[in-house]
Amino acid sequence: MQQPGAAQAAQTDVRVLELLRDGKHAQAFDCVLDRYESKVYRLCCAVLRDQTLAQDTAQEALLRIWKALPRYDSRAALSTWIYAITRNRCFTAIERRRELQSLSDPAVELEAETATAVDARDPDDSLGLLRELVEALPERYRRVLTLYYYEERSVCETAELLGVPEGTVKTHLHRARSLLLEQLDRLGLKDVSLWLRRPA
Amino acid sequence: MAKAAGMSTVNMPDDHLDQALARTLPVPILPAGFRVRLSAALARSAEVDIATRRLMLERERREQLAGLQTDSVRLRWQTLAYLIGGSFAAGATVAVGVPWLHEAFGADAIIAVPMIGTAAGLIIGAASYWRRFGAPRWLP
Repeated sequence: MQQPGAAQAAQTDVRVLELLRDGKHAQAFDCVLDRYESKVYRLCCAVLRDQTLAQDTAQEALLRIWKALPRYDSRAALSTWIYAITRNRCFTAIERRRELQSLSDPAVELEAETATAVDARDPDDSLGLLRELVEALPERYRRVLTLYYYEERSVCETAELLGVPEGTVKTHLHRARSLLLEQLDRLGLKDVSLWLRRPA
Repeated sequence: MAKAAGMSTVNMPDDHLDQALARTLPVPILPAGFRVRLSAALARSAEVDIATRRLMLERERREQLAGLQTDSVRLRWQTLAYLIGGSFAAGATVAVGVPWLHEAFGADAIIAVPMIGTAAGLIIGAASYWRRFGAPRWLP
């Protein structure tokens, strides 16, 4: 059975194609925005870990989509096409950021910062601690885990956004959780009620 | 292996971690004004597109004009060549044809043949005029 999200996406695809065929590019783009704008932004947030950069990158991606929309030929699903453009813009943004910070490796820097912060963390701030542990996960696991929760625990949506098979998403989710549990265990934070007691 | 050993020692229900992660990773909300900024960016990009399109059209027009100029020069040379060639051909025809007509058909042929040619030319000219512009206004 088709999921409601997938059915809606398919409807949007059909509508956009009809509008493009009629030469109504602006209306087609409005349709795309209504359906995918937030998703594009969430994908940028998950990949880039920086909301300001994510905003700029989402805008760039949507501009690209606007320019390329008249040439969209429906060989790939509209969502796949949009997410591919967005991912490419994100990777370009990462490259650009890396060039700007060429003197220091951001991943290493972030890891060092996280490690320091984790060590100095107030034991009561468990959600903050968990957030930092998530940040310290290997990039591929962190992306999958983050998007999985951004997309309301939909493996299918996560896989589509990242352009990977669902099996890969499941494997990465499992590994990410295992790593988190291992880290928490190492820090002596087995008591889950610590997280659930405090408001986010 | 160490990781696997570590994982096996953890005794924590996954749904608790799941809930904690859901709280830790809240869905990012699209910032207010995003659509407005996007529209502005789209408008700016359209302006750039118009400028680019204008440059392309201007270049295309220049190329067309250059092409027309070349064709026109070629046509003028061709016309000149036809005129010179036609004059020589006419001269040669008269030089050879008139003595031959005189010998073959007598003195009257020299007058009759050009008159027939003139009449044929007038008919062809009138027919062309008629086909192109219609009947002359002074005709009833």
